[in-house]
Amino acid sequence: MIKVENLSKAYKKNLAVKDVSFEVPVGSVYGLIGLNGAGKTTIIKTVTGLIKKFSGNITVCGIEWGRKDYRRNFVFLPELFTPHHFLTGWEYISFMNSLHDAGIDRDKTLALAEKLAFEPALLNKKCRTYSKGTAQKLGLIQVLSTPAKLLIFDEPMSGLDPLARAQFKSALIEAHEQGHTVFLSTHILHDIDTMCTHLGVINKGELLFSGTPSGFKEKNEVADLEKAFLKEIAK
Amino acid sequence: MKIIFTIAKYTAVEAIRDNFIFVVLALMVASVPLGIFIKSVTLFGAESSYSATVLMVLSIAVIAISVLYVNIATRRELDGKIMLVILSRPVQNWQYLLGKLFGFWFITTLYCAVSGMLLAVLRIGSLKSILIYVIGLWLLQILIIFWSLFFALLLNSMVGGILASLLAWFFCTSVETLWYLSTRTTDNILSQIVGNLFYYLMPNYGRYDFGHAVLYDAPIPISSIVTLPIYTVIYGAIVMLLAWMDFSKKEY
Repeated sequence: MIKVENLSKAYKKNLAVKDVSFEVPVGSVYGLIGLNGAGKTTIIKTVTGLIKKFSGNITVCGIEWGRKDYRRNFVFLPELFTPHHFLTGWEYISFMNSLHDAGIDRDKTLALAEKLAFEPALLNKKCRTYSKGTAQKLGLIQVLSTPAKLLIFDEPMSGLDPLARAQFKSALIEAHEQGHTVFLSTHILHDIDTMCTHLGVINKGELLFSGTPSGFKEKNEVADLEKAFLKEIAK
Repeated sequence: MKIIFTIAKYTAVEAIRDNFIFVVLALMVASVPLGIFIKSVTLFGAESSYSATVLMVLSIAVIAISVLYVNIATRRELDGKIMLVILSRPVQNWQYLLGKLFGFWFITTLYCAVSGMLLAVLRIGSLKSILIYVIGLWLLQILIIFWSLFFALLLNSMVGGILASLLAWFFCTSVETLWYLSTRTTDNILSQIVGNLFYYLMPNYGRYDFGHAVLYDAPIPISSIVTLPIYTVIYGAIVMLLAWMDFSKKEY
């Protein structure tokens, strides 16, 4: 679904991403894991078209980066994002969906809200009254209510409390079961272990591994993902 | 077109719900007592001082909404990462810019209409001169909004964006004065070259000011009214192009 070939990106003279190639298969949950500053966000922003100067090739659903319809097939949610403070939850979803030329399905939205333990009455309130977790959940509800089948997240559970994290994760797993492909970045190994079918390990801008979690453990000859990760980045 | 309309609609909604609109309206209404005060302390030409004060405050209020609000709203959208979400959707950069322009322009249209009504109620100038004055102010907003958008997206600080937008407004308003000072009061070749370049390259906001017609009922050549929309379209396209180029290269 996503194909990245020889991606490199430099900020002035600092090479943030070095010749990275990987593929996110259709129907997978691909987790990009790495330490802070490893280059995860740079890769995500490049794939989503927010970073414009880079070398390499990127295609999403067979459409090359920069083509007119490129951004039609995915939706992106950044970390710690704040929805428009002056809109209600319903208005925010309606606004964002209209950018995809999609309407608003109230029943589907309410069902999604219920799954995420998002109080439906909150959808009538202005987003300025939302907590960080509630705002992030609204972002997920909106993302899941679009027709796009590819969901891209940058540290989606950053700053969420344990309950909200669990609800967020179960909603993502369910979306995956319903046919969505998920591409996310995280620095929390437990998220990878519980959600991801595939992972990419990135350190100092270099992709050290891309494949399945079991393959990664086998490669490092350990049964634990954390140990495998620590062993990999220490090489 | 639908995307442009959607962005414009929510831009206008933001201005209305932020209560910023009421602050500017209050400033407009405050122009009247301020004008009366100026009139009371002026020894000669009290009536025209009053009219000039009201006119000046109304113009500043409309320009303030463009410069301040464009910068504040754009910066807020950027800091809250909502701009990242919008730009990762199937929205072209030019659609976003035009959507923003039309949203902000709609709000300033309201202010221009209120300004015109206030001038008519206060009987400052003839109805014809007020109408021309308001159209000039309304067209000027296109350039001011685009410059403000350009600086809000180019600079990484809200204060910087506001200052740069105000400076652009100041220079574009003073084009003729600066040209006169740099070419007629000195023999310095460099000063004359800069002055001429500035005069021929920068938009001249003085073309949009029909305040003298309102204050003194001075005749306005038809040609200056007819050519104004063309002038706006040409310079608007240039500033839009600059804003688009800046926006297309920017990485957030």
